[in-house]
Amino acid sequence: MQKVLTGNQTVSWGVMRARAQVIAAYPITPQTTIIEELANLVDEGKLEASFIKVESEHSALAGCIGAAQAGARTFTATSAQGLALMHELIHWASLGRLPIVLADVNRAMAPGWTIWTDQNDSLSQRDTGWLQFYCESNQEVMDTAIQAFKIAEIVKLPVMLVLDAFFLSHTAEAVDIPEPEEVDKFLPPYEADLKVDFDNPRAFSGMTGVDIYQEFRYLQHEAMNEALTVTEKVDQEYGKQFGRTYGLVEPYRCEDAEAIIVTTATATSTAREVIDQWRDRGESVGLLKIRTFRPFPTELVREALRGVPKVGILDRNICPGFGGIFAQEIKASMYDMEEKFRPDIYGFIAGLGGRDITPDTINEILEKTIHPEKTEKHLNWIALRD
Amino acid sequence: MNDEKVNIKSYRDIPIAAASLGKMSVNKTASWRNAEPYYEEKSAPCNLGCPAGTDVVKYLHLATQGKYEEGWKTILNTNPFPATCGRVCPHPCEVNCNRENLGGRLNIHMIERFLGDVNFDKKLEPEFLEDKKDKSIGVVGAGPAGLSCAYQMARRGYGVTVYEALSEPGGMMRVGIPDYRLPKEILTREIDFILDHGVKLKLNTRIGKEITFEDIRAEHDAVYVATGLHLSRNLGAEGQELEDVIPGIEVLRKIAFKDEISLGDEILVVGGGNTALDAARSVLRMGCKPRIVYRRSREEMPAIAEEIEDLIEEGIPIDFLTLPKRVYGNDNGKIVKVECVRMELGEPDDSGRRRPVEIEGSNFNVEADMVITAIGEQPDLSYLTSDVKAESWGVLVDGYGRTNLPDVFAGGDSATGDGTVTHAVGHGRQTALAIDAFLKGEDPPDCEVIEHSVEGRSMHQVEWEEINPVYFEPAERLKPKGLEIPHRVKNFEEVYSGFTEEEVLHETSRCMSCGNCPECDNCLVFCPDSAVTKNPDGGYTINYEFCKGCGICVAECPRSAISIKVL
Repeated sequence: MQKVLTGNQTVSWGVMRARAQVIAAYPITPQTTIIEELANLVDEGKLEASFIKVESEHSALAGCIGAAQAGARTFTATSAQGLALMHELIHWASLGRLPIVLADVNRAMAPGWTIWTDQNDSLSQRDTGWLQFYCESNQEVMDTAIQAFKIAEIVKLPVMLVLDAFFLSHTAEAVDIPEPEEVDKFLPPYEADLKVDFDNPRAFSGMTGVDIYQEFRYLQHEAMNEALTVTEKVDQEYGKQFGRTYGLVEPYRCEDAEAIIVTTATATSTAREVIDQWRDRGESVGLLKIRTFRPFPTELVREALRGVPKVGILDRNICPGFGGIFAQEIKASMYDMEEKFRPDIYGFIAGLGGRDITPDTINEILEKTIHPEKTEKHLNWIALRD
Repeated sequence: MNDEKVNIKSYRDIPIAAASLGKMSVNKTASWRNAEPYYEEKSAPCNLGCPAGTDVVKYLHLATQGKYEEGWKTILNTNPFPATCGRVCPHPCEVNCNRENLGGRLNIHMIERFLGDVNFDKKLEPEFLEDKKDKSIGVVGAGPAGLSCAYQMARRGYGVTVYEALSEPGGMMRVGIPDYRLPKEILTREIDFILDHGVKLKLNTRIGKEITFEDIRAEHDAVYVATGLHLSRNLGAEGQELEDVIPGIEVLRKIAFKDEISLGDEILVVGGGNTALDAARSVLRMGCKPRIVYRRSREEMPAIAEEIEDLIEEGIPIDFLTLPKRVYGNDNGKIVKVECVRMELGEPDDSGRRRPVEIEGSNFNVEADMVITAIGEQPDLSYLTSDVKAESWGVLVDGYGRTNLPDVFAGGDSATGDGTVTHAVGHGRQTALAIDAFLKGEDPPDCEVIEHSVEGRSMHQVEWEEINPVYFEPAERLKPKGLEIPHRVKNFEEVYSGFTEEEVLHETSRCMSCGNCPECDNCLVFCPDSAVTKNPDGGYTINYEFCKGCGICVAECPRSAISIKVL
């Protein structure tokens, strides 16, 4: 079935297809229409779930944690300050090994007060032990939503499904919605191993001594590593059943490339067009889309960039005092590569607070990467009003 | 993991997230408890306020669920006069109602009246609590105390004979309370239900005249004396012997029996109690112009507050702080005027009320051709033999209604002077239980328990601070609809109509069931340790192996049916 859906509606429909059982959420622009649509779907009986209205994002995630601990498939959604308010429980969900799926509609952090997109809200949660998938299109949102529950439930870690504010959340596209029975085959009901069980009562999340805490961290980290292969496998499986795969990263026209631009999320679509234009002109340039930020696909990135002379990394985020966050991750991944294969890497910051990333933005980055005479290696601000 | 400590050698030995291993037997959360909750049903203010000892909170709960017949029977357990008391009782049950803080006290008496009325046409089968016995009691006086005692004894299988001087039963309910407050078919129906229990009623039988007190004692195994207050106090003013100076209770009795009565035009009614008010409002309805004089102020008036308001609404003037000094008659002995004097309040007297003192030189005359006296009544105990200890105000009894003679009991106004139908009903029941115990050779049950139906509940009265108001919506107290004044002052039609079912349900829905568990499950839902379970036969059990004494169940109990003690 195809429908014209906004990115937010797509999230809701994906969650419905995944048959989430408990949804606890608090509204915040630009996320609001996700939970409005879910509330409608629950109200209309299309989704059999408990929809819990709560008084804050902190409570929303707490509600999900309780429900997940009881063995329910749970979902919540938020943005920016809402995600920040959840932070304490973001850790809790992961160390509690609860496979909650959260849709974060990327919104820049205030102040100044803003509702437009950039990635600092979700990237601030880098070290919380959540998987993070950045989506390029509404179709990818749909497919990733369904995959997210499966991956989460296998590795027993929570997943953040990330989409750009407005560029996806409020933009409508034709989306292929998998049939419910097909999704049911792909994603069977959730069976939690470690859950509240009245016949076998036990205490959860209790005081953990110095003799054992580090071991829980080890297990969490190992699960994150396992998630790399699980994500790959689930994506392949999904592709077999529904005909679409995304990979953890996606190289686009990278054959014999002199230079590669690395992008994430909706900026990728714009970059594809620009790469096509450069290739049509006979220029050897390519594109690497990073879809999975956590766990970081280090090997896949190394493989894609190995031997490429120049790499420009577009970051729609900023780690103040260091630079782009994806650039930081990629540089760290390349550090121990043999020098002759290791590319020159240039960092670019663009599109913060929802500023458009246009074909001109991409052109400028490609130009500055291919002709780096006046380019800073570490950090370049694009379209800065200086 | 059982009680032994497990030595964890590897991350492979632990679950993926922090959780106790296996059962919780090593982690019984109760181990850090320093306070312990326990279920304790407490007394609602209405229950403690009811002089008849009726389980008010229970019948309100039944009414909430539309179980009107069960509610009716709940009242009948302690009081055979719900329809009557619903109308005439000054409802002390409402005085401390915690709803005061959320829209006004519950209109309990109107709900009681509804329960008494709603099945009016249904004939209830008497329910006997015990088998028939060969012992019998004699009850002197068919007023509320006597009939209540008779009813309770008959239910317990005793033979009961009630001796009544008047031609109809009911005592002051029959001859003291006018029809506009209590239509007599209501009373008759409720008395008939008592008689259905096999109670024999001997009317027109005045003790000391038709039959002696000794005869009755010889006839029965025990005697209950409850003859009320039917002697009016004298006016104590010059001219009191005039023909048209009549006691209020006589006026009311004659009106009740529809006896011939010649009334004046302008009538001075002396007194501030219910008799004065009833007499004034009755003669108003017969076309006279009554005027009340009372020697103290409105605050000291012993009459029911609502009745005072109704009387003022009906346009009857009251001269407060006024005392009749002399009644002037003409040559034919007909009253022409009454001289009165103004009073002021001095130091408190024995009753705690401030003593009225005459203001010298404040005398004035009031036009009147009749004086009704209602300044207090006394019992007529002339029929008693001298071996029964009594004072002029009544028979001497203990808390169980026992006199100095083991087989003689007394109650109602002629012993206690409490002055309301419901007090009399309560006393009749309480003494019935004492008589029952006497006839069985046992000690009587605990007075307090009988008085307040507190079995299974503590006597602690639930205060507003113990209610969790979050669980209750504010809602206004409903008031009954009254007849328009111009219409009602012309006849004896009942002034207030009863509540409709809708109104009753509104009013009962406001009841917070103070101290009484209606099994709302809050304790169970809120317990963080799942230490509360529901019993199959009602109620809850706390698992003290896991209850850590956090007190959330106590805080979230809307009505204080759980208590907590520090260990």
